[in-house]
Order: sequence, then structure tokens, then C-alpha cells
Amino acid sequence: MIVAGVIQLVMAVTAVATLVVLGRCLQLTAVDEALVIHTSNRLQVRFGGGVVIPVLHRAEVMSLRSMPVVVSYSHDDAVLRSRDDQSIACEVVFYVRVKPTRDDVVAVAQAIGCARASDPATVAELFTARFSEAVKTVVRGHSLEELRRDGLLVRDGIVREVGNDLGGFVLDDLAVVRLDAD
Amino acid sequence: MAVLLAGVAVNVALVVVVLARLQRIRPGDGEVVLVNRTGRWLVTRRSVTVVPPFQSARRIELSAHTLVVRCPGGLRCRDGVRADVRVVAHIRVGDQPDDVLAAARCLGVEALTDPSALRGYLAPRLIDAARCLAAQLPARELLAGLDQLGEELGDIIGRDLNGLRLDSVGLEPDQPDDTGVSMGVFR
Repeated sequence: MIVAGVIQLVMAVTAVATLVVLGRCLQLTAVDEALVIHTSNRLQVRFGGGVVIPVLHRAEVMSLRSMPVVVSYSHDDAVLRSRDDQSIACEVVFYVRVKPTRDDVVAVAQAIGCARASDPATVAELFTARFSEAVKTVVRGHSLEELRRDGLLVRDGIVREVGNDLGGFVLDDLAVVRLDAD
Repeated sequence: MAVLLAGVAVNVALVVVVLARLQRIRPGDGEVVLVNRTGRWLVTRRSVTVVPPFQSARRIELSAHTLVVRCPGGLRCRDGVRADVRVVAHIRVGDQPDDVLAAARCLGVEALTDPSALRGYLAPRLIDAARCLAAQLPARELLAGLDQLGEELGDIIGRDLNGLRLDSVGLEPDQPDDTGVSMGVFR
């Protein structure tokens, strides 16, 4: 009788303790975030939540949201020129986000860190140079007349120029808001 | 005997504690519940029971939004004339669970019910599409046939935008200078 009671008591206490400890260690994230857990020798990625053991693990959250990167050239810059040497003013909005797969999140976490990858200003800074170069290359390849006539020309050209490899990020979409000589 | 009773008491207490923590989330009309079961996501229109801290749930309202976006500086038409138009788009989050997940993942849950956030996200694409369309037509033709261009505009934008659905889109004349004319030359 006493033995059965003790076993039951021990089991109940163990169950309570397990639940409490698990509950304490569990970290849930929002749907637009990935949980990156630094263990002693590797990175674990969880979408939605995972167990973070104090002392042994360190957890960070990475945003998976789409972030805008704006590339704009005004006439005052006079940097952007078409093939027929017209000065072009343009504004292109690129949308980038971290690809929501394990490998891509790990790549981004290792290369730039979760905090920086979640900050739209930092992400914009990272990609501005590369995207500006793509815009310049495409615009330089066409005359003003061509640019005016075919609205999708620049967009498609930029997508080709930027390519797929953005180190764990993807170019979701881009929008050419303004593009003209005047 | 006392030990047995203590064991039973602890067990009962455990059940009571777990039951007391349960939350019932009921979606209202036009709402869905997004449930996080520690990494497994569920989108449903039914009521769900969640067990914090192992699960969490959020209600999302899926109403349609109307976005009105002015094209700054007007659009340049094929004949070089400026047309002042604005884009009016009706959008909503898609019905399918995958649509809700995709949209929530790329915009965040709050933005899905926030018209100004949606506007900020979609405005550049709407302007881009209107710009592409205007480049194909002379201004007079564009302004005369505004109500027939919605279909074409929708095709340029694409109907599916990361889980957001474009229900309908159209162009309207915009008169920035009250002259009653929606076209002019570029200054």
C-alpha cells in the first residue's frame, strides 16, 4: 500500500516538475520569426518555437518579414545614364526577406547575425550597393525610348541581373516606381 | 494510507492546474485562428483549445481592404502626355490556410488587419503596374477607357502576392489641380 502510494507520489511530482521545467524552457515565436538556438557546437533553427535550456543554449529571434530596399537616383546625382546618354531619374523598391528554410536561416545567422538581419535599415544598407549596380547596368543597356516604351523591360532586366544568390535572402519582388528623363 | 492520499491529491492538483490554464479561442465572423503548436502551425475557422505555454493562438480578421494609391507626378503615356490617375485596389488575405500563413509570415500578423501597412507594402507595385500600362497607351485613350483597364492591370500586378489576393483593381481619374482635366504636359 505504502509502496504504491510512494510510486504514485514520485510519478506525480516528476510529471509536475517536467511540465514546469519544459514550460519554462520553451520559447514560442510569432509566425514571422525564426528561433535560432546556439548550442555548444551548432545552430538549431525552429519555426514557431523550441526548447531553450538555460546556460547550455542561447536563443535569438530572426525576422522573416519582407523588407523594402529603396534605390533611387535623382537628376541632381546625374549618375544614372541611358545608352543614348540621357540622365535618368529613377526609384526602384526591392522586397527582400530571409528564405524560411533551415539552411538559409543558418547562413544568414552566421554571416550577419539575427539582430542585424531583422533590422530593415541594416538589410537595406547590405543590399543597396548591389541593387544600385544592377539598376545602373540595366538602364545603361537601353535607350531612353526603349525604357519609356516597355515598362517591364527594366524590371525583368534587374531580376536577371540580381540573380538568386543573396546569401540566404530572396528577392521577393521589385517595383519600378519612377523611371524617366524628366 | 497518508502517502497514497497525498499522491492522489497531487495528481488531482496537476489535472486542475492544467485544466485551469487551457484557453478556448473562438474566431468571430470573418476571422481565423492561427495556432502555434510549438512549431506546427494550424489555421482554422473553428474554435480551438490551446495549452499555454506550449501553444499559443491569435485571431486574425480577414476582411477586404480598399487601397487608393495616387501616382506621384502623374503617369507618362505613350504620346508623352501626362495622365493623372489613381489606382484603386480591393485586396484581402486568401482563404486557404497556406495563404494566411504566407501573408502572416512575410508581413506580420498585425499588418494583415492594418490598411496603412498593407498600403505601404503594395503601393509601389500598384504604381509600377499603372506605369507599365500607361506606357502602352496614348493619354486620351487611357483616360477614355479607364474602366476597362482593370483586368489588364491585374494581370501585370499578379493575382497572388504572398498570400494576399487582389480581388479587383482599377484606375480612376485624379485631379490634383481642380481644373477638371486629368492630363497635361510634364513640367
